[in-house]
Amino acid sequence: MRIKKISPGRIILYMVLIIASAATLYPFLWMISASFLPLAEIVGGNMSLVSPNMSLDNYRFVLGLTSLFPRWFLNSFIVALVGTTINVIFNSMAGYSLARLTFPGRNKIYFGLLALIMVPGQVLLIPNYLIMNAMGMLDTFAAITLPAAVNIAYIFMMRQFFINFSTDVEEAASIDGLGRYARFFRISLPLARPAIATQSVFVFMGFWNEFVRPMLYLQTQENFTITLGLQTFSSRHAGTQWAQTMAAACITVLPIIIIYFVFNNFFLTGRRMDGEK
Amino acid sequence: MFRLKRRKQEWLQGYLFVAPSIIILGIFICLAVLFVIYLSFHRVNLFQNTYEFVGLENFIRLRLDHTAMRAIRNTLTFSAVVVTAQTMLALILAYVLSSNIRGRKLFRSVLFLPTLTSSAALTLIFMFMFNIQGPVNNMLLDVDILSERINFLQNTRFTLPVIMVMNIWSTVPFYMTLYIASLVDMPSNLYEAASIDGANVVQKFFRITVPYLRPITTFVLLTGIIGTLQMFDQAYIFSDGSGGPANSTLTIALLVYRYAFGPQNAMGYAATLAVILALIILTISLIVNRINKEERVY
Amino acid sequence: MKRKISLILICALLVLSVAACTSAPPEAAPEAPAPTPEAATPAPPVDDDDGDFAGRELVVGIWGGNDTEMAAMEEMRLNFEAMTGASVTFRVYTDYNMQIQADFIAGTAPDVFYVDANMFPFFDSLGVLAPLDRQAVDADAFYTNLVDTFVGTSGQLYAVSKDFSTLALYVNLDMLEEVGLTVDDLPTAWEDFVEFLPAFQAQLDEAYGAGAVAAMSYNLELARNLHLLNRGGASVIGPDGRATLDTPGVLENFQLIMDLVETGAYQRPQDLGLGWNGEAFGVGRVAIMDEGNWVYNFLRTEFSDVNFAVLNMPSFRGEVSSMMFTVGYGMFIDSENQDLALEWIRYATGVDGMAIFTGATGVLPSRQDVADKIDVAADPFLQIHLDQVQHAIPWSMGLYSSIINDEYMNFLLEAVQGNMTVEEAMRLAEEQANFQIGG
Repeated sequence: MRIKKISPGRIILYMVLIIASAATLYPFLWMISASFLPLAEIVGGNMSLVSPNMSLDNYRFVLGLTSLFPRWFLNSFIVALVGTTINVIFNSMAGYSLARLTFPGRNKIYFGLLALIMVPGQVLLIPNYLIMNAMGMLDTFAAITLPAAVNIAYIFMMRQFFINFSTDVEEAASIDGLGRYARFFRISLPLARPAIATQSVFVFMGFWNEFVRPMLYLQTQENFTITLGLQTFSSRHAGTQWAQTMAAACITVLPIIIIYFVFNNFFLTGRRMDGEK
Repeated sequence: MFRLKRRKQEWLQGYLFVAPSIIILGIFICLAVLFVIYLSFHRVNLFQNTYEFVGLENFIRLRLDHTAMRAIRNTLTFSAVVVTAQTMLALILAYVLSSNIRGRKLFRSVLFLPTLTSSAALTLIFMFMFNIQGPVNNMLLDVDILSERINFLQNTRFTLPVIMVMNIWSTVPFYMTLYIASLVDMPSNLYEAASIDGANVVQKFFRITVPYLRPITTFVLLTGIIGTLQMFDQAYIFSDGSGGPANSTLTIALLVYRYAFGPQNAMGYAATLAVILALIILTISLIVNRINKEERVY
Repeated sequence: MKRKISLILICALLVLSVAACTSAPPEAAPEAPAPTPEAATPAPPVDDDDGDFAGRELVVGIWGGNDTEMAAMEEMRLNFEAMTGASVTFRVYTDYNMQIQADFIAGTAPDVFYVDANMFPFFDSLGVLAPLDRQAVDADAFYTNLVDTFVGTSGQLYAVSKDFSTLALYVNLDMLEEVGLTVDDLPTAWEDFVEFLPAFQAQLDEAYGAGAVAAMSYNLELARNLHLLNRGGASVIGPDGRATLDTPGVLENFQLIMDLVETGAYQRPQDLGLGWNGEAFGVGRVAIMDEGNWVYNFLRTEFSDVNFAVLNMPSFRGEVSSMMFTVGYGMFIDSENQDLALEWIRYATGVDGMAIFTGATGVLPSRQDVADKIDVAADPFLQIHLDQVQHAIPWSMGLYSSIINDEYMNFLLEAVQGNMTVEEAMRLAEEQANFQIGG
């Protein structure tokens, strides 16, 4: 019997992967562990991830009746859901228009979008705050969803999709007498499902994880999203209530992890940025 | 006649379909850019609702601003360290994961996890890890690397590096995925030829993979630079919006926020700083692009 | 159907964007409440009784407190409503100073709202507060320095203190006993603590293990350090409100903090990985601290097993002083309910209202008659806090206090961490603060 020789190169590769995975998982494991532990144990020089004192107390507190976390969770969900729906519709419409319809100025619009993608977002913090203020939209969910209601990267992705995708079915429908809008919503959009799914997943995640806009625009505690709520909660306890903070962090991360495992393939194909691919 | 009408109709449809995007981007990017430039030449008093034109005064003021200089220094240091580290790590991991080894799908799924985490959760997790009683201190004490606990969250020598570590940790997977996506298209005969020459994994990496990925590396560097120069979330959460302790975590974007919405009530001056940030980003991006082009000619 | 939906969406956006385009330029932004001289005349004091206010609505701007505070506010609200027939709504702000400024801009500020003494000069400069008649609000019944805190640049009174707090010295008695000391062994002057702390720290290390308990904790903030820095005629701000940190008097006074820090026994709660003094003291990581009376109830409820005493503040340069913190009620200058707002102020800072709030929450009453009514003297520790009113200075430091404090905290932290000399840190803090204040 011959044992297959493992080359030293392979060993290096595995070492790299194992170290990287350990470094990746280490913080997550601590987050999960700490979320079940009493604070005294966390700050008591504890070295092990598991302990007999584990309980659901932190979660009970975070999800309790007096806690705003459930409310924040719901807010985030509403914002992300509405924001994603609007994005999908608008991005697809724009992508479709740039791919399938001919009209004067189309190329100018295309290059205009290409230029806009270069504008650094943080620079717009102040003007957008003043614009929101002038529109009377401070402290509303609209302030978070509206400026992000379209995403240039996904307009490009949809455009590319419609360019590559055969027009046969749509033309057949056109002969059947369906108008442009009906064709778009009933034929083209359903056919674009894979591309729409990809952008939905990332847009949803973007809204869910967004911090700057909620922090800037939301004022009333009841309106906070989960990320802002989490930060506020932590800072109100001078950043030392690690046990409850970690429980809240777990709850924040959970929905995205679920989406990740359900839609694993969309995440790993690297289609996120380069719509041109 | 009929055809003309149809063409006109298609024009209208075309405009209607892009209209929502144009309007939203028009307001929140185009108008906002013009507005921020306008603000940077004004002294703004929100309470009296006055916008007083001051010419270049805001820009001249900047030279005397130690805090702004500190923020610029912090941001550039942060960017240089993080971009270098994240690009190298992403390249290495992508190379390893695209080699033909067992369990790479599983490894890839695990390594991707940080990308999913919100900046708020991520920062708080790392603050917990690095707090003076936390797991990192415990571990370093246990293996005798440290003899006494380090207050990573308060000692100004360690605060920015901690944020660097968490930023690298959270951004590497994204760039790694970009690299993997282009390694998939790499002709396999490149490696085969090298194997015949007797090159080992490390040599293959430096001789074949790195040069092959040069164009995508430019993209990764640019995205990384643009991203890190705008660092805000993690510094804000880490310092509860102050950029402290002792301005050690103050970034340009955070200072823009502080000046605009803090007690200084200096929206115009903050806008100037934002414009400076945009100019820094533009300049560095152009330089990186230029360097890359020159190398390609060679 | 779907076609209609998309068309509606597009139309809605068009409308929105048109609205935005017309209102986005600054000239067209909503008008700020320009304080007009007409509105500045104080509303006549309303002395008469119930009925006049029936059916009227009053908005009171506050920041959130703990459950006890909110319950006390609720009780006051019900009493006031029964008394006047008006209805009261609390607008609870989360980021008070920022959000209420936004409401000033929009002209939608509450009729009557909390005014933190430290924010008062700023509110005063904005002209958002209506002047109050001293008689109408019974100003003579209050401790004088609390009244003076809310006198604006015009010389008029603009807010009435609803309660206050002071700093006093807290000592863990069990720890003292453990090392064989009593309260009488403690120094009564800050200068003597420099001598006392190293030995005390050594004893604590021996009793509890090295690094387990810090002898004394402190905060590096002007709100806590101001009374020390201003001692002996020094002042961290000039008459114009700009920073004068880099002056011989302030530098000399700060040396006390440096000497204490250099003992190694004087630490910030953050240095211990804890949020604030009260927590550090409660969990037994600190033996002595100077803290406000808010920590008193906190220790009693959260850390009931800690056996402590409250002592008078130590003297420095032969003089005893402390800090005091107060919040008052002020009236919005553009409020259409100024008569009702004044009535609220009269009630909430009057004997009945203040007794309800201060009696329940452990803050100190701003007037002696209320202190007598709720019998503060029955609790000697609380009485010590109340006694500080004789010599404490109010935390209110001109228009630019938060800018100066930020820079103080930033640069002096570098000094206590040993990355800068005190002179350098003070110079930079002053320079940077004054730079931001502008000229």
